[in-house]
Amino acid sequence: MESHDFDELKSFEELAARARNEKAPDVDVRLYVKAALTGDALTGFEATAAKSRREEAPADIDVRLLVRAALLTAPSGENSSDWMDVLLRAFRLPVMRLAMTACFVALFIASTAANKPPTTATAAAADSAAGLEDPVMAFLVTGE
Amino acid sequence: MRFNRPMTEIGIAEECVQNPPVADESQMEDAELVKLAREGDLGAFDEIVRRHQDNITGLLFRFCPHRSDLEDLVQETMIKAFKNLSKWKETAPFTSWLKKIAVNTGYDYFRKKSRQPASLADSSGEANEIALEQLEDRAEARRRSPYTEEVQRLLATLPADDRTVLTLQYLHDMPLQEIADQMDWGLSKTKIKSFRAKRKLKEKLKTYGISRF
Repeated sequence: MESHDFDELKSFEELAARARNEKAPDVDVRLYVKAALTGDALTGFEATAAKSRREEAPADIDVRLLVRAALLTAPSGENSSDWMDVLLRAFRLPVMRLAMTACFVALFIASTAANKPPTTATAAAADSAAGLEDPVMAFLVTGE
Repeated sequence: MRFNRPMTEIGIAEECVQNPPVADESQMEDAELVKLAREGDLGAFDEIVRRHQDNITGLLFRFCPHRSDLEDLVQETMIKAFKNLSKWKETAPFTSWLKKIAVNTGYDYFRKKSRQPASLADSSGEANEIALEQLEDRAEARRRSPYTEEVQRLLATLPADDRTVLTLQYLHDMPLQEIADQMDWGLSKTKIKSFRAKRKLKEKLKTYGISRF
């Protein structure tokens, strides 16, 4: 039992001996110390920037899976709200506003004409779309 | 008119006029620099930091191989030194005094670490960011200095006192007398602490095992 303990500690000692050969990284804290002692925010920023310059960008970034996952998990509501947004933005354009107004007016006229009781002269013609002289009105009333 | 005469005519070199001679801090002794720094000369203290930071980094690296924590520890040591410059007595070498501050900073770091074990329970954004940074640091340390990282991982289960003694003994190869001086402990106390720390380490190694390199 004792020898087992000894072996474990010996392994640790070997590990520590190897660790003693490892070198510390180059560290330069002068800017940080200066920033801390003077309370100068700009020096602090410079110290952080200097630290950042030493950092390396990761070489192996592959976001394909992340992007795919994000697209798959995006709620469908988000798309419809995008369409709604496009429509609302389009309605803000004067041309679109004019077109929509014209459409509403046409619908109003059509509904008024549809509610009018048919006269004897037009009763026979009312069966077909041809009875209406204006083709647009005919389309709006009958849908044909 | 006396003041209209060029300086070169009255025997002063032009370069001396443009750059009046200043004391070259890199040539000064530590004691002279400390004297200037005590009077508030930050340039002199900057030279002290430049001169000693490699040694202090080497010392604290054994306490913490993780780069960002290591930088913080070196910085903390230097700031403590600046604030306590008045306590340094010229009878002792400045390097030993600074080393003692560094060892105490490392000891405090171990105490802090043992009080705040890594926890995933705190899920605030800042805590997550710090945890992520620590993970990256650990991965980098494992790649760059795998043995130191492994030794500290094994020692991390011990109390701060034991961890400090074993770090100085095994990773710095420091004699017990020097450890006693650095920690302000007596030699007997240091021997007992070292003996007990090794015993605890044996038990931990028996329980958790040790990686075979």
